[in-house]
Amino acid sequence: MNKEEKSLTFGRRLRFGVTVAVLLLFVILQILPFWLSLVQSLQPRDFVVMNTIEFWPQSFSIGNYVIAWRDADLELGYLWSLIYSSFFTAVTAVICLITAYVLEKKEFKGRNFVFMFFMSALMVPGEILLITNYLLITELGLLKSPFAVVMPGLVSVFGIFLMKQFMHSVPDSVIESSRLDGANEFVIIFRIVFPLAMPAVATYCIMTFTAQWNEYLWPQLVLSDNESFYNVQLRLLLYRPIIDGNISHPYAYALRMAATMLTLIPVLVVYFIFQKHFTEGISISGLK
Amino acid sequence: MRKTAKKGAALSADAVPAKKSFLQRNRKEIVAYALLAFPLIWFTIFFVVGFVRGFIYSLTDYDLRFSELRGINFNNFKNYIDLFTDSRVWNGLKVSVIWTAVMLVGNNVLGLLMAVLINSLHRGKGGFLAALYWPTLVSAAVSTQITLYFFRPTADGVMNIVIGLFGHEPIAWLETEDTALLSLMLQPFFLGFSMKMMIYYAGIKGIPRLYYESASLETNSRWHLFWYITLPLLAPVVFLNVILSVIDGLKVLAPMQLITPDNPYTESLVYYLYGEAFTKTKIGYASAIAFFLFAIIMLLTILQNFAKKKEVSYE
Repeated sequence: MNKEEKSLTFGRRLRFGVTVAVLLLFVILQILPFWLSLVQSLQPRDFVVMNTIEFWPQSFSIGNYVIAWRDADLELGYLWSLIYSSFFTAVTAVICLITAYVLEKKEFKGRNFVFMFFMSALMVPGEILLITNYLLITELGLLKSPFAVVMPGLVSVFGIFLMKQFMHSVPDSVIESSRLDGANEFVIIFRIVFPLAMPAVATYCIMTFTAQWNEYLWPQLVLSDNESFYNVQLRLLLYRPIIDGNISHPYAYALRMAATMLTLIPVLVVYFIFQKHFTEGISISGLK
Repeated sequence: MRKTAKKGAALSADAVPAKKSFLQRNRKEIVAYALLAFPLIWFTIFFVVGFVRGFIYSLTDYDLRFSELRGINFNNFKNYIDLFTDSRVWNGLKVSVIWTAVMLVGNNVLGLLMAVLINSLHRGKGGFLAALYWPTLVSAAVSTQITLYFFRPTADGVMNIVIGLFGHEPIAWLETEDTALLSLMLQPFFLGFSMKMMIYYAGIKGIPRLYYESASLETNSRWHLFWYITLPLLAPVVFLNVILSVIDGLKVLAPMQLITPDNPYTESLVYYLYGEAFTKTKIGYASAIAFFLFAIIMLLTILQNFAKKKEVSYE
């Protein structure tokens, strides 16, 4: 190996080392606030100390989690979050699947117009709709009811777009041949198109489920003070434990961080199981 | 219809081509629109009607508290005239624009840097993407609690301990004029790049290897390759990300509403709008502010499309 080659490989190694170091730095920086919160949430009351930043808990205890789970009524919050997210995801996925199928695979007058009609929603800012949809829910007498939480967004333009893009690669011949076998539209959609479009549907479902789990603005607005239907995010926002008559007692923050972790963890679990679907969403929708 | 009739006439004088019923002739359309009925109706109610209603209300004095008493009356664009002299609108716009500018720079620079660095690795790309993308799943409520914990005003708050190491007195971060908005922006500025990173990464993947192979005959410098190949070919993606940053940035609401409620130093335009609509019930005026924001976003989108036409092409 001559000198030039040696320095080249050294240069490459150095570059590789710096690249990995910078990336690792940002991975750690992103975790750091959550890690410090996690450490705080695990400290038992006697160990919560002032004026230092703890990078490792002095004692592991899930006691705070038990207290936070009970005091913040997270059980009820989890229940409603699961109901809202599952119901919303299932219904909107079926609607988007049918709509995308009709717009991609059926030929009829006005197809392009209908597609542009749906796409026009991307221009309308949600703030305008926030006000008028709130008025509409009020007029329908659905204010403070759980239906109000899931109603407005059921037709998702993003979902239609995502599935339509994906169905482009589903061959028409498959659909035609099953039609000749006498299959009706619903059999075609759910027996033929659905399995073939599964990757796009799964991606959409996972993204929608987590987005709905994280939603706070619209539920807060329509549920107002009716706490019995609050989802887990609203429960967390509501949670302000008071220790020794003090809302900013260090231990009160330990409890709040425990409730925070309990809200965050389900989404992270879903993310690390289905991680590929989140990154695929961007490539399927052609957002590049 | 007319065409088939003509054809029929041409074929034979007494043919019966147009005798099919309406249902048979338009079967395709009927099936399609039957399947689309629910989405079309739902969409019309919650998007189209909402949009049109919002615009009509923006021209009126609609106030939920007084509407039963005095009805809803058109008021000659008074809302739009008023908002131009409303100092809280301009203050809100200032806060939103500062937020937008800061996030635009921070998230796009770091997002592009991370995408380029990850792409230059031979292995472990997926791992780093996954390890840097998860913060997009952190909800507003969760980051609110964590920000409140970090920026506690007392001496034992995390940020106050950090500045204490440099001998600084504790600061009431979220209340003081100089630090309130800064505190809200710190974390999203440095760490809010995940979504942008992913879009840049998808864009870089889309650049054909051919360009790099031929360019590597000319230069060995990674920097040259980035500056003369990656960046120009990525221009459409940069444009997309910039416009997404602007649209998202100008709509910022959650941190202001949840972390620092009722703080004039961090009142963004949408948070002001929200208060006018739902705390003060001034639907007409709030709708006018929403359409003012809509106009700004539309204008910027049009400008972006105009600029896009001038982009570099290596084809």
